[in-house]
Amino acid sequence: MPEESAEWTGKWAAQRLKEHSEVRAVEVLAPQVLRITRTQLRPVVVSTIASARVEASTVNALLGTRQDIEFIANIPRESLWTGDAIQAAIRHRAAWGSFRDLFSATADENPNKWENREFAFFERVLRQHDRVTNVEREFDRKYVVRREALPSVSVVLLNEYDLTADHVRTARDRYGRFDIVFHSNPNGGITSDATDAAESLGAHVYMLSDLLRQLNRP
Amino acid sequence: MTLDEITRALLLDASRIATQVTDAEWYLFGSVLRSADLAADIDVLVLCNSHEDVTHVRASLTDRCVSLPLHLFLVTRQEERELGFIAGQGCMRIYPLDFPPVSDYYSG
Repeated sequence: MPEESAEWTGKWAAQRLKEHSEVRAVEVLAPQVLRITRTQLRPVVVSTIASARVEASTVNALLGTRQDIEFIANIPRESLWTGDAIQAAIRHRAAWGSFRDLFSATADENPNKWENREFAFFERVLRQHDRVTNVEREFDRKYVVRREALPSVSVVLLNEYDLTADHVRTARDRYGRFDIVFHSNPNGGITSDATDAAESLGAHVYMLSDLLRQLNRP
Repeated sequence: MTLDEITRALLLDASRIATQVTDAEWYLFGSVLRSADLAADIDVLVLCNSHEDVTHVRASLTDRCVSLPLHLFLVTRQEERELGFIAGQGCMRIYPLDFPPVSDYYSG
C-alpha cells in the first residue's frame, strides 16, 4: 500500500472534491482511498498518492491490492509520471493524473477512461501529421516522435502560463535530454532566458504552429 | 490548511533558504489567496537575483513539494521585468515583509 508520508492526500482531496457540483458525498475508505458518491452518475473509488516521481511499482502495488480503484491522483504538482507507471495504470484499467485531472474526471461517466485534454490534443495532432510514423511516451510530458525519412525528435510539453528558464532547466532534470519544448499554453509568454536556456541545452521552444512546421524539417 | 498555516510553513522555508540565497522575495498568488481550503495547488513565486539562486531555491524545496502541493514559479528579476507577472497577477508578498514595494523593480 502507499507510503505513510502520503496519508495527508486522501483527506486533502476529499475536502476539495466535496465542493464538486457532481459530488454528493466523499467517504475516506483508507487514508489514500476515497469513494465518491455522485449525484447523477455511479459511485467511483479513487486513490491519492504523493510522489515526486510516480513509478510503475507504486501503481502496481496500489492496484494490485484494490482492483476497484478507477483513478490514481498524484497530489504534488511538482512531479512526474514515468511512461511505465502510465502503462501500468492503463493495464489495470485505471486513469491517472493530478488532482485537477481527478476533479475533471469526477464529472465523467467513466472516470477510468478519462484523458487529460492537453495530452489528448497533442497526441491527436501528432497522429494527423503526415511526417509522423510513430509516437512513444517516455514520461507524462515527454514523447519521442518517429518521422518518415527524418531522425526522431523528443518533445517535452510545458503548459506553464509564462515559461521561464527554470521551467526549461527543471524539465531537463526531470526528463533528460530533449530536442523540442512545446509551450502548450497559447496564452502566456516565453522569457528570453527560457529561450536561451533551451538553446544552451541543444533544444528549441515552439508554439504549436512552429512545432508542426518543424516536424517536417531535419 | 488555512492561508495562515500555508504562509507559516513557507516562511520557515524562506527563512531557512535566506541564509544561502540573499534578497529573494516570496509571493503567493492564484486560487490559494481566494480559498486556501479548496485550492487545487499552492502557487508560489520566488523572485531571485540570479539563475544560480533559482536553482538553489528549487533544490531546497524538494521535500516541501511532496508534503504540500506547491506549484513553483521561480524567476529572476530580469525575467520578471519582461513578464510583469507580480503586478499583473496580484501576487501577495509573504517574505520579507519589511522591503520596498514591488513597483521599484519596474522603475529601474
